[in-house]
Amino acid sequence: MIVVSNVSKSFKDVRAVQDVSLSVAPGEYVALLGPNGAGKTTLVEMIEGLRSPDSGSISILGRDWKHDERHLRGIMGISLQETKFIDKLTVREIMDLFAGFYGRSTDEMPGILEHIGLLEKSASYTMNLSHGQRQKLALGIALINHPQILILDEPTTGLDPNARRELWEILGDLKSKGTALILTTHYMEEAEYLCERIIIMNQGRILAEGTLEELLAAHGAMEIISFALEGCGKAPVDGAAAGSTIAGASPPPGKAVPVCEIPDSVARIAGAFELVRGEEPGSGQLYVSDIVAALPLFLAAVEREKLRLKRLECRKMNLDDLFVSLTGRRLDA
Amino acid sequence: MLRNLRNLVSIQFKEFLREPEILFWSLVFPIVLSWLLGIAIGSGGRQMHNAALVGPAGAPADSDLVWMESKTGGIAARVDPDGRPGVAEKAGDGSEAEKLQRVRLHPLSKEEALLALKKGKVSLIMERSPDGTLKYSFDPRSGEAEMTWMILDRAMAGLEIESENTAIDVLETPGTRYIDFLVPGLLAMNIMNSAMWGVGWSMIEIRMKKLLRRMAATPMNKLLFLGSHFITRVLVNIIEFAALYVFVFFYFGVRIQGSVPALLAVFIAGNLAFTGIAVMISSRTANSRVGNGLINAVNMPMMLVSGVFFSYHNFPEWAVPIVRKLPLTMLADSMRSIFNEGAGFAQVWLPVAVLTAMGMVLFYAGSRVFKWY
Repeated sequence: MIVVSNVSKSFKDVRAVQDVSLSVAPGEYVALLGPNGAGKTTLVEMIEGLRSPDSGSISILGRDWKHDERHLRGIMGISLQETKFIDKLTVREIMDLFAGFYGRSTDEMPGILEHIGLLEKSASYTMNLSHGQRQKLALGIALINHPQILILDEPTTGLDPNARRELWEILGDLKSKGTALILTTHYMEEAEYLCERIIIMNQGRILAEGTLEELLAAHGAMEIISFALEGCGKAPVDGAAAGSTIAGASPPPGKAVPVCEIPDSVARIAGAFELVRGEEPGSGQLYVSDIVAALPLFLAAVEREKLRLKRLECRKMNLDDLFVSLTGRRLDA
Repeated sequence: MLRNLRNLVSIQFKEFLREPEILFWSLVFPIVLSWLLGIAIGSGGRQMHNAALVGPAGAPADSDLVWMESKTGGIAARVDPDGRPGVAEKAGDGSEAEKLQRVRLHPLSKEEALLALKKGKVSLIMERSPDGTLKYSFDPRSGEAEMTWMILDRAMAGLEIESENTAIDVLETPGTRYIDFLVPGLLAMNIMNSAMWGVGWSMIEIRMKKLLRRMAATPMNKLLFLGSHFITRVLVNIIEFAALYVFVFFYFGVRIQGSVPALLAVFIAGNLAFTGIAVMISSRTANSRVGNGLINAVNMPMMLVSGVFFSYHNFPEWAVPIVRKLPLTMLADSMRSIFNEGAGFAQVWLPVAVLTAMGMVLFYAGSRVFKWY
């Protein structure tokens, strides 16, 4: 349905998207997952025909933006990362206006408003809507033309968990109608919950793609021992949050932070793939193939080094961990 | 297509009606301004004043001035031998302050003088009757005219013309008062401001809100979108025009003396010209301060020099031909000639054509470089 081939786009000195290829099948829900600045928005804006790629091609149902712009606009529903509306127009007036653009009857609008849970807000000025209601309105506009392809750019960013869940449910309902969805997000749960296929992007490139299981299986380590050593100072509170220290990198010079080096012997136990050191000194995540086998070895190694554990947690790897192991960055950083 | 047009016009119209500030600035403010300037205008105090000089038989009066000059010995008034406008100076002690009070005298026939007065070229007509009396005709409500009269009256005192030999003719005929000069200028300025803010600013604003981008991501016809702003402006401006005209019609007795269809043509051409300028100006920027600056950069100079509040004939001679080519000047002058001089299509076709062409060219150029995303 959508075929993106070797697409690149640069702005001044930033290479926003570099040689990206992907395809989306009819009715498929695909998540573009990545932190801010990963190039997700630039990529979807090229698919939406709002930007043209520097190189590469984009074909949608065999058509391209240069020749079939009006047709493509008619079959696509989009919601931009952030759209504000004219303050003193009502929800209904905005819907009716866009219905006109798509050549749809305004009689259909109450049905859409009901579907997105905004019917009782029909007569409210858009300036009086909450952030979540505004996002719903943006989604409502995207649904006016019963699109075959829905492209939503961070539809739930900044929403509270309840509002996010409501939006997920609306999007989940659409699945039965055969709509294809491309969704950008930096919420792992959102990608997991809504989409069968996940594409992980960072710094303008696709790092990995597949179903959640495929992604986790393909990238080896399935389980994680997360720990922190006793007696190590806490990382500076503000610094830790802002400057996510890349695993293994030493802290910037001049900062008197007590560093507890985790001995390499701990990382070299049998069945361990990789040790990712945390932002907090003396903390780390050890990626192992099998916790049941690795945990006793890990504890023995800690004991041998005469270290004491402050915290210990064992869990299955999730998308967030996968992202950290791929990039050294956290998704929401 | 038609439904979209109607929808677009309707939302833009609602936006206009639902913003109290817009209503104030576009409806109330011009009325307050016309009242203030028409009633309470104080001293003029500009350096150069203009008066028409009419001879005994209603002909241009150069011989009279020669006579005045010979009688006093000092220069009170003078016309150059080649008939160019001369200068009357107050016969006083010649101090700097007094020298600044100068009146430029234009020898004109009676009809020419009246036309010049309506156009704002001169603020007063000085007429020498066959019986030797001097008659001043002007609107005492205009500070500018009063100032001119005072200077001339005192200058003539130096010519030993007895005060009983001078008469003042208060001009109250519609078309010759300051308010008659002011109203068409205000209406023209209103069209400009309304287009610049209503079209230019609103486009910059919806681009800033990314709403423009969202609209452009639908199958919406983009030319229709831009065109709808012109139609909205015409409708809004008709209301604004009517509001101000009704007020000055009843309160000041201002009348449209010329052709109403010609006025409509001028009105439409003016809307087109300024919508074109607004589309051009708002075609690229998404920054409110840049937008604000651009709009002010167009509005402010024209508001000051285009003869809305006072005649541009007070400016140096070299500047006048430039000022006359500004769109607001063309619009204000055309409306003024229809209001006060009874002009019709024959007199205004050229500015109408120029404004229309200008609007269309700018509209087209603006739409070509328009930044939608």
